[in-house]
Amino acid sequence: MKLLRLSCAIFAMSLKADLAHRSNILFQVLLSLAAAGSSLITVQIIFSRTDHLGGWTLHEAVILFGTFTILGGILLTFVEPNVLWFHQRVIAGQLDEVLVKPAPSLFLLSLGRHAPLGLVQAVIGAVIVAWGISLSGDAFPVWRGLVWLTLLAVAAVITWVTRVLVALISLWVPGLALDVVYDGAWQFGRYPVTMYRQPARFVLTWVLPVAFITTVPARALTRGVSPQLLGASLAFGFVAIMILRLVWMSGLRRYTSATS
Amino acid sequence: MDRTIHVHHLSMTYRVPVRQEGLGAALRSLIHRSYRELAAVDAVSFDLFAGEIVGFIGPNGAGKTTTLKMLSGILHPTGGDADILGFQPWKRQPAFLRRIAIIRGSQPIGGPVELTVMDSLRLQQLIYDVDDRAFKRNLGQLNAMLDLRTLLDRQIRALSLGERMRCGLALNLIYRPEVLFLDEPTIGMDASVVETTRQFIAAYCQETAATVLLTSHYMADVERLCRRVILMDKGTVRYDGDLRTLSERLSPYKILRVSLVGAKALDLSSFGEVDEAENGTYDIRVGRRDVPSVTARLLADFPVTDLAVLEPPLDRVIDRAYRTGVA
Ligand SMILES: Nc1ncnc2c1ncn2[C@@H]1O[C@H](COP(=O)(O)OP(=O)(O)OP(=O)(O)O)[C@@H](O)[C@H]1O
Ligand SMILES: [Mg+2]
Repeated sequence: MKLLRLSCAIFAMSLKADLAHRSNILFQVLLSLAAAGSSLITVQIIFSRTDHLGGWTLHEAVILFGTFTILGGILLTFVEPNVLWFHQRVIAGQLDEVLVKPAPSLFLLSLGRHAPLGLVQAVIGAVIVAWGISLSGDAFPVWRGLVWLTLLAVAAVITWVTRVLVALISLWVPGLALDVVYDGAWQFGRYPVTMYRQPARFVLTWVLPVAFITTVPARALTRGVSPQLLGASLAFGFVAIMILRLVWMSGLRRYTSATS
Repeated sequence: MDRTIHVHHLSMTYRVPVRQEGLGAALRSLIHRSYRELAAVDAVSFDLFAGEIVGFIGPNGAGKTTTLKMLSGILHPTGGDADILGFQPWKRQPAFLRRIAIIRGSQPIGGPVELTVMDSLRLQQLIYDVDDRAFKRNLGQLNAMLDLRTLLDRQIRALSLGERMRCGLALNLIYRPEVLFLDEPTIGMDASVVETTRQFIAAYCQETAATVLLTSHYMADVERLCRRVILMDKGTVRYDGDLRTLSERLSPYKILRVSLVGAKALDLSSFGEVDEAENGTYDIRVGRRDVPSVTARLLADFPVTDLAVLEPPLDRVIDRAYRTGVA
């Protein structure tokens, strides 16, 4: 409850700070539109040569890409501002400030800063999903939408966990920044994991869980999802949080601050 | 009196990787890393009572900051124990963290830098569960003492060093901590800001009866604020007690300041080492025990218009002690 209030306050304050610069907003909108537009064109090109991509039709692929874009926006808004330059903050001893505050350190550390303009991208993603739905011409039952939202929440959690885990590596290997590697792996989320062969598919489901981040939610919206898969997703999200907590606690034991 | 801080044989040994010179050694260290143990704090014990302001001094690398980090819960010690307000600091219980603050001159403000000072204060209010009435009252007082009015709507990112420190103090005191760890709070400030900061710390402590452990390399800070000092060197406590007694112990001499009739330069070196001489006023170093006899001889032999017995300047005494090692 306290964390929710804290999050809202941080978001509102950061938004106020962002809105102070109108050019930032314009720039962010243009950037997000350009990125989404070029990717959609790629999808169109692919489907001009085939009508199936790993068993996904055009409108399904569009919905998948929309979901991917939404999660990218969430990542940009709530997670990236915290993990950016994380390895340097470790070296500079800047985790100290988080440790002396009477709120969960993992929360302050990984969700304590927001960049609200990133939500522009999430909104664009939602528009793309809506467009994909209209392309299909089908009627989508409400419950599917609800399941999709639930799975989207799980996907957001997994995104947060994996991104923070990658940042925490620098507690063991100071100076190692795998941000670029994460960005690279993240891009796999654009396309359905069914497109890949084994063992790549296995890796993308269980090791780099991009399947849970985009494929599963999008599939739930387009074709529905079995209760088992829904359950597995929820369990996966829960386990992910537990793993992150464990890693953070043991990483903290290695943290010796800096000299000044 | 209540014992607020109890520190018992507290130790911190850092494991620092040893880097050899040369590429070959660097490659070898990839496979087999060798470490050196560095005892930054070695079995340190002391107590602080409620409302005390104690100076925590010592040369660079003595282990002061490391001790403060352990006492504020940032570091887990490798040995010993501490009890502050009934808590073990490194368990970092919220009930403990709400009642203490560590303020460092080297990084006075943490947290998001794009927020305004007022927003950061509001965030502190939420994190520390300060109710609205207390928040208003505390902010009013801090405002009066630190003159924050013009700073509240500025972004933290855009503050100067001195402004940053003022805001850092406000952010950390808005929740009225009972125990303060101040690590070089006046570092890098201009003379007038240093003075206001000292005044502010004194006023805050008087107002709230906070218990304070204050590190500084400026002896003026310590003289102004602390009666008691704890002196550390190489990880151990070398002195714990009255500041005056320390300076007496460290400097076996006093300064006799005599003014003589006429501006003619005189040779007074037979009485003791002459530190400074101008316009007929001389500062003579005299052993503590010899002060009465030297004074008598001076008065008998010279036309003295004024005479004072002074303690040697503290920073010089401390400086000498740091350099020659503290007995
Ligand atoms: N995070 C760290 N890792 C390794 N060694 C450290 C670390 N922090 C401090 N040290 C070492 O421990 C010793 C004590 O450092 P500390 O910062 O506590 O000294 P200090 O008394 O605060 O000195 P100063 O007056 O220069 O601030 C020094 O030799 C320092 O190099
Ligand atoms: Mg220090």
